[in-house]
Amino acid sequence: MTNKLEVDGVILEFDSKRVLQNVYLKSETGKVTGLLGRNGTGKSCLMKIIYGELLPNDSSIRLDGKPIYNEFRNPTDIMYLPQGHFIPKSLTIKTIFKNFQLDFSDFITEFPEFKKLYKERFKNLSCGEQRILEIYLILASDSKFCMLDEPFSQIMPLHIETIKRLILKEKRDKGIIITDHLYKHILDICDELYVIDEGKTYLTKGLQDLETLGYTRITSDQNFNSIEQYTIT
Amino acid sequence: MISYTQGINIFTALFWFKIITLGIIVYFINNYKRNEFYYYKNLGLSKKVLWISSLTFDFILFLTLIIITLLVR
Repeated sequence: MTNKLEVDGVILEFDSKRVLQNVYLKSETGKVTGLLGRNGTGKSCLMKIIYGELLPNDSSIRLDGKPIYNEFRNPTDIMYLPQGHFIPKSLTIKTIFKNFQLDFSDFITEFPEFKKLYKERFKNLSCGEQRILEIYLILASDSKFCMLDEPFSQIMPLHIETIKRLILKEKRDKGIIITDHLYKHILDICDELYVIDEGKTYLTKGLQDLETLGYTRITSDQNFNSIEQYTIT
Repeated sequence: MISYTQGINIFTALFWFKIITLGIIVYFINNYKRNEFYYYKNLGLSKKVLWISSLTFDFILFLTLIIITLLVR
Protein backbone atom coordinates (compact mmCIF):
# COMPACT_ATOMS: atom_id res chain seq x y z
CA MET A 1 0.00 0.00 0.00
CA THR A 2 1.24 3.47 -0.86
CA ASN A 3 1.09 6.07 1.91
CA LYS A 4 1.45 9.78 1.43
CA LEU A 5 2.62 12.45 3.86
CA GLU A 6 2.09 16.07 2.85
CA VAL A 7 3.00 19.30 4.54
CA ASP A 8 2.06 22.78 3.39
CA GLY A 9 0.94 26.17 4.63
CA VAL A 10 3.72 26.22 7.19
CA ILE A 11 4.42 29.58 8.76
CA LEU A 12 7.08 29.67 11.44
CA GLU A 13 8.23 32.83 13.14
CA PHE A 14 10.74 33.36 15.93
CA ASP A 15 9.97 36.74 17.50
CA SER A 16 9.49 38.88 14.41
CA LYS A 17 11.76 36.81 12.14
CA ARG A 18 9.89 34.59 9.67
CA VAL A 19 11.81 31.32 9.17
CA LEU A 20 9.37 29.30 7.09
CA GLN A 21 6.62 30.29 4.68
CA ASN A 22 5.17 28.83 1.49
CA VAL A 23 6.47 25.38 2.36
CA TYR A 24 5.32 22.30 0.49
CA LEU A 25 6.82 18.88 1.08
CA LYS A 26 5.57 15.48 0.05
CA SER A 27 6.79 12.01 0.92
CA GLU A 28 5.47 8.74 -0.45
CA THR A 29 6.05 5.06 0.17
CA GLY A 30 8.89 3.87 -2.05
CA LYS A 31 10.55 7.26 -2.28
CA VAL A 32 13.43 8.99 -0.54
CA THR A 33 12.78 12.70 -0.24
CA GLY A 34 15.89 14.82 0.20
CA LEU A 35 15.76 18.15 1.99
CA LEU A 36 18.67 20.55 1.62
CA GLY A 37 19.26 24.14 2.56
CA ARG A 38 21.81 26.50 3.97
CA ASN A 39 22.44 26.64 7.72
CA GLY A 40 19.56 28.21 9.60
CA THR A 41 17.02 27.93 6.80
CA GLY A 42 14.69 25.75 8.87
CA LYS A 43 15.27 22.15 7.74
CA SER A 44 15.35 20.73 11.26
CA CYS A 45 12.50 23.03 12.29
CA LEU A 46 10.39 21.68 9.44
CA MET A 47 11.10 18.10 10.55
CA LYS A 48 10.20 18.97 14.14
CA ILE A 49 6.97 20.58 12.93
CA ILE A 50 6.09 17.42 10.98
CA TYR A 51 6.88 15.34 14.07
CA GLY A 52 4.74 17.55 16.30
CA GLU A 53 7.64 18.76 18.41
CA LEU A 54 7.60 22.37 17.30
CA LEU A 55 4.43 24.41 17.20
CA PRO A 56 4.38 26.70 14.15
CA ASN A 57 2.23 29.77 13.65
CA ASP A 58 0.33 27.83 11.00
CA SER A 59 0.65 24.49 9.20
CA SER A 60 -1.23 21.72 7.49
CA ILE A 61 0.10 18.19 7.86
CA ARG A 62 -1.79 15.37 6.19
CA LEU A 63 -1.24 11.64 6.35
CA ASP A 64 -2.99 9.84 3.53
CA GLY A 65 -5.13 12.93 3.05
CA LYS A 66 -6.22 13.08 6.71
CA PRO A 67 -5.10 16.17 8.63
CA ILE A 68 -3.11 15.71 11.83
CA TYR A 69 -4.18 18.27 14.40
CA ASN A 70 -2.42 17.25 17.61
CA GLU A 71 1.23 16.82 18.55
CA PHE A 72 1.05 13.05 19.07
CA ARG A 73 2.63 10.90 16.37
CA ASN A 74 1.97 7.20 16.33
CA PRO A 75 5.29 5.36 15.79
CA THR A 76 3.58 3.10 13.27
CA ASP A 77 2.95 6.27 11.22
CA ILE A 78 6.18 8.23 11.59
CA MET A 79 9.51 8.01 13.37
CA TYR A 80 12.16 10.66 13.74
CA LEU A 81 15.95 10.67 14.06
CA PRO A 82 16.96 14.01 15.63
CA GLN A 83 20.34 15.63 15.09
CA GLY A 84 21.75 14.79 18.52
CA HIS A 85 21.93 11.45 20.31
CA PHE A 86 18.52 10.51 21.67
CA ILE A 87 18.95 7.12 23.33
CA PRO A 88 19.23 7.26 27.15
CA LYS A 89 22.87 6.53 27.93
CA SER A 90 22.27 4.03 30.72
CA LEU A 91 20.31 1.57 28.52
CA THR A 92 21.97 -1.58 27.23
CA ILE A 93 21.86 -2.44 23.54
CA LYS A 94 19.88 -5.56 24.44
CA THR A 95 17.18 -3.44 26.11
CA ILE A 96 17.11 -0.96 23.23
CA PHE A 97 16.47 -3.72 20.68
CA LYS A 98 13.83 -5.22 22.96
CA ASN A 99 12.07 -1.84 23.30
CA PHE A 100 12.00 -1.29 19.55
CA GLN A 101 11.07 -4.94 18.92
CA LEU A 102 13.91 -5.40 16.47
CA ASP A 103 16.06 -8.43 15.82
CA PHE A 104 19.70 -7.94 16.83
CA SER A 105 20.86 -10.65 14.39
CA ASP A 106 19.53 -8.58 11.46
CA PHE A 107 21.54 -5.63 12.74
CA ILE A 108 24.84 -7.54 13.01
CA THR A 109 24.33 -8.87 9.50
CA GLU A 110 24.81 -5.26 8.36
CA PHE A 111 27.23 -4.19 11.11
CA PRO A 112 29.16 -7.29 12.31
CA GLU A 113 31.46 -5.31 14.61
CA PHE A 114 28.52 -4.77 16.99
CA LYS A 115 28.28 -8.49 17.79
CA LYS A 116 30.46 -8.21 20.90
CA LEU A 117 28.61 -5.11 22.12
CA TYR A 118 25.20 -6.71 22.74
CA LYS A 119 25.35 -6.38 26.52
CA GLU A 120 27.16 -3.05 26.58
CA ARG A 121 25.52 0.14 27.74
CA PHE A 122 24.83 2.79 25.12
CA LYS A 123 27.19 5.26 26.83
CA ASN A 124 30.14 2.87 26.29
CA LEU A 125 29.85 3.04 22.50
CA SER A 126 31.80 5.57 20.46
CA CYS A 127 29.93 8.56 18.97
CA GLY A 128 29.93 6.93 15.53
CA GLU A 129 28.70 3.60 16.89
CA GLN A 130 25.95 5.38 18.83
CA ARG A 131 24.85 7.16 15.66
CA ILE A 132 24.83 3.96 13.59
CA LEU A 133 22.65 2.27 16.19
CA GLU A 134 20.24 5.21 16.29
CA ILE A 135 19.94 5.35 12.50
CA TYR A 136 19.28 1.62 12.32
CA LEU A 137 16.55 1.76 14.98
CA ILE A 138 14.65 4.47 13.15
CA LEU A 139 15.19 2.98 9.70
CA ALA A 140 14.39 -0.63 10.50
CA SER A 141 11.38 -0.03 12.76
CA ASP A 142 7.99 -0.74 11.31
CA SER A 143 6.53 2.65 10.38
CA LYS A 144 4.99 4.25 7.30
CA PHE A 145 7.45 7.15 7.28
CA CYS A 146 10.74 8.06 8.85
CA MET A 147 12.67 11.31 8.99
CA LEU A 148 16.43 11.38 9.30
CA ASP A 149 18.13 14.60 10.39
CA GLU A 150 21.83 14.51 9.48
CA PRO A 151 22.31 10.74 9.58
CA PHE A 152 25.70 10.74 7.84
CA SER A 153 27.49 13.08 10.22
CA GLN A 154 30.01 11.27 12.47
CA ILE A 155 29.85 8.12 10.33
CA MET A 156 32.87 6.69 8.48
CA PRO A 157 32.60 6.37 4.67
CA LEU A 158 32.31 2.59 4.67
CA HIS A 159 29.31 2.66 6.98
CA ILE A 160 27.76 5.55 5.08
CA GLU A 161 27.57 3.21 2.10
CA THR A 162 25.93 0.52 4.27
CA ILE A 163 23.41 3.05 5.58
CA LYS A 164 22.64 4.24 2.05
CA ARG A 165 22.03 0.62 1.05
CA LEU A 166 19.76 0.19 4.09
CA ILE A 167 17.81 3.32 3.16
CA LEU A 168 17.25 2.00 -0.36
CA LYS A 169 16.14 -1.35 1.07
CA GLU A 170 13.76 0.19 3.62
CA LYS A 171 12.18 2.61 1.17
CA ARG A 172 10.31 -0.30 -0.42
CA ASP A 173 7.94 -0.25 2.56
CA LYS A 174 8.08 3.35 3.72
CA GLY A 175 8.61 6.96 2.78
CA ILE A 176 11.86 8.50 3.94
CA ILE A 177 12.65 12.18 4.42
CA ILE A 178 16.33 12.90 4.81
CA THR A 179 18.50 15.95 5.31
CA ASP A 180 22.27 16.23 5.58
CA HIS A 181 24.97 18.63 4.48
CA LEU A 182 26.87 15.70 2.95
CA TYR A 183 24.63 16.38 -0.02
CA LYS A 184 26.40 14.09 -2.50
CA HIS A 185 25.11 11.12 -0.54
CA ILE A 186 21.63 12.64 -0.52
CA LEU A 187 21.79 13.11 -4.27
CA ASP A 188 22.87 9.48 -4.67
CA ILE A 189 19.79 8.05 -2.99
CA CYS A 190 16.95 10.55 -3.24
CA ASP A 191 14.04 10.34 -5.64
CA GLU A 192 12.85 13.88 -4.97
CA LEU A 193 14.92 16.77 -3.74
CA TYR A 194 13.61 19.89 -2.05
CA VAL A 195 15.74 22.89 -1.22
CA ILE A 196 14.69 25.44 1.39
CA ASP A 197 15.67 28.97 0.54
CA GLU A 198 14.37 32.10 2.24
CA GLY A 199 11.66 30.09 3.98
CA LYS A 200 10.29 28.52 0.79
CA THR A 201 10.72 25.00 -0.55
CA TYR A 202 11.77 24.40 -4.14
CA LEU A 203 11.44 21.02 -5.83
CA THR A 204 14.71 20.69 -7.70
CA LYS A 205 16.02 18.42 -10.42
CA GLY A 206 19.63 18.15 -9.38
CA LEU A 207 22.95 19.80 -8.88
CA GLN A 208 22.44 22.73 -11.24
CA ASP A 209 19.40 23.87 -9.21
CA LEU A 210 21.43 23.66 -6.02
CA GLU A 211 23.88 26.18 -7.41
CA THR A 212 21.09 28.42 -8.64
CA LEU A 213 19.53 28.39 -5.17
CA GLY A 214 22.87 29.25 -3.58
CA TYR A 215 23.39 25.97 -1.73
CA THR A 216 26.60 24.83 -3.39
CA ARG A 217 29.15 25.87 -6.00
CA ILE A 218 29.61 22.94 -8.37
CA THR A 219 32.15 24.69 -10.57
CA SER A 220 34.62 24.62 -7.66
CA ASP A 221 33.87 21.03 -6.72
CA GLN A 222 36.48 18.78 -8.29
CA ASN A 223 34.75 15.60 -7.15
CA PHE A 224 32.07 15.91 -9.79
CA ASN A 225 32.89 14.75 -13.26
CA SER A 226 29.66 15.92 -14.79
CA ILE A 227 26.46 17.63 -13.75
CA GLU A 228 24.36 15.04 -15.58
CA GLN A 229 25.66 12.30 -13.29
CA TYR A 230 23.83 13.89 -10.39
CA THR A 231 20.59 14.78 -12.06
CA ILE A 232 17.53 13.33 -10.37
CA THR A 233 15.26 11.56 -12.78
CA MET B 1 8.70 16.03 65.40
CA ILE B 2 8.09 19.56 64.16
CA SER B 3 5.04 18.35 62.19
CA TYR B 4 3.42 17.09 65.40
CA THR B 5 3.66 20.46 67.10
CA GLN B 6 2.97 22.72 64.11
CA GLY B 7 0.16 20.62 62.58
CA ILE B 8 -1.47 21.83 59.37
CA ASN B 9 0.92 24.78 59.01
CA ILE B 10 3.94 22.55 58.41
CA PHE B 11 1.91 20.41 56.02
CA THR B 12 1.05 23.51 53.96
CA ALA B 13 4.73 24.46 53.81
CA LEU B 14 5.74 20.90 52.85
CA PHE B 15 3.04 20.82 50.16
CA TRP B 16 4.28 24.02 48.50
CA PHE B 17 7.92 22.93 48.87
CA LYS B 18 7.02 19.71 47.04
CA ILE B 19 5.20 21.61 44.27
CA ILE B 20 8.17 24.01 43.79
CA THR B 21 10.75 21.18 43.68
CA LEU B 22 8.60 19.31 41.15
CA GLY B 23 8.53 22.45 39.01
CA ILE B 24 12.33 22.76 39.21
CA ILE B 25 12.77 19.08 38.29
CA VAL B 26 10.44 19.43 35.28
CA TYR B 27 12.30 22.54 34.09
CA PHE B 28 15.79 21.02 34.32
CA ILE B 29 14.90 17.61 32.89
CA ASN B 30 13.07 19.27 29.98
CA ASN B 31 16.32 21.10 29.21
CA TYR B 32 19.04 18.57 29.97
CA LYS B 33 17.24 15.45 28.76
CA ARG B 34 15.58 17.21 25.81
CA ASN B 35 16.73 14.71 23.16
CA GLU B 36 15.95 11.62 25.23
CA PHE B 37 12.25 12.41 24.98
CA TYR B 38 12.53 11.44 21.29
CA TYR B 39 13.44 7.90 22.35
CA TYR B 40 10.15 7.53 24.16
CA LYS B 41 8.15 9.39 21.53
CA ASN B 42 9.50 6.99 18.91
CA LEU B 43 8.13 4.22 21.14
CA GLY B 44 4.72 5.92 21.33
CA LEU B 45 5.10 7.65 24.70
CA SER B 46 4.66 11.39 24.46
CA LYS B 47 6.32 13.87 26.79
CA LYS B 48 2.91 14.65 28.28
CA VAL B 49 2.23 10.99 29.13
CA LEU B 50 5.69 10.57 30.69
CA TRP B 51 5.34 13.65 32.88
CA ILE B 52 1.77 12.99 33.96
CA SER B 53 2.54 9.39 34.95
CA SER B 54 5.81 10.11 36.77
CA LEU B 55 4.57 13.24 38.57
CA THR B 56 1.35 11.51 39.60
CA PHE B 57 3.33 8.56 41.00
CA ASP B 58 5.73 10.91 42.78
CA PHE B 59 2.95 12.99 44.31
CA ILE B 60 0.92 9.95 45.42
CA LEU B 61 4.08 8.58 47.07
CA PHE B 62 4.56 11.95 48.83
CA LEU B 63 0.95 11.97 50.10
CA THR B 64 1.14 8.33 51.18
CA LEU B 65 4.30 8.97 53.21
CA ILE B 66 2.71 12.05 54.83
CA ILE B 67 -0.40 10.05 55.78
CA ILE B 68 1.70 7.15 57.12
CA THR B 69 3.75 9.62 59.17
CA LEU B 70 0.55 11.03 60.71
CA LEU B 71 -0.84 7.56 61.41
CA VAL B 72 2.25 6.15 63.14
CA ARG B 73 2.99 9.10 65.37
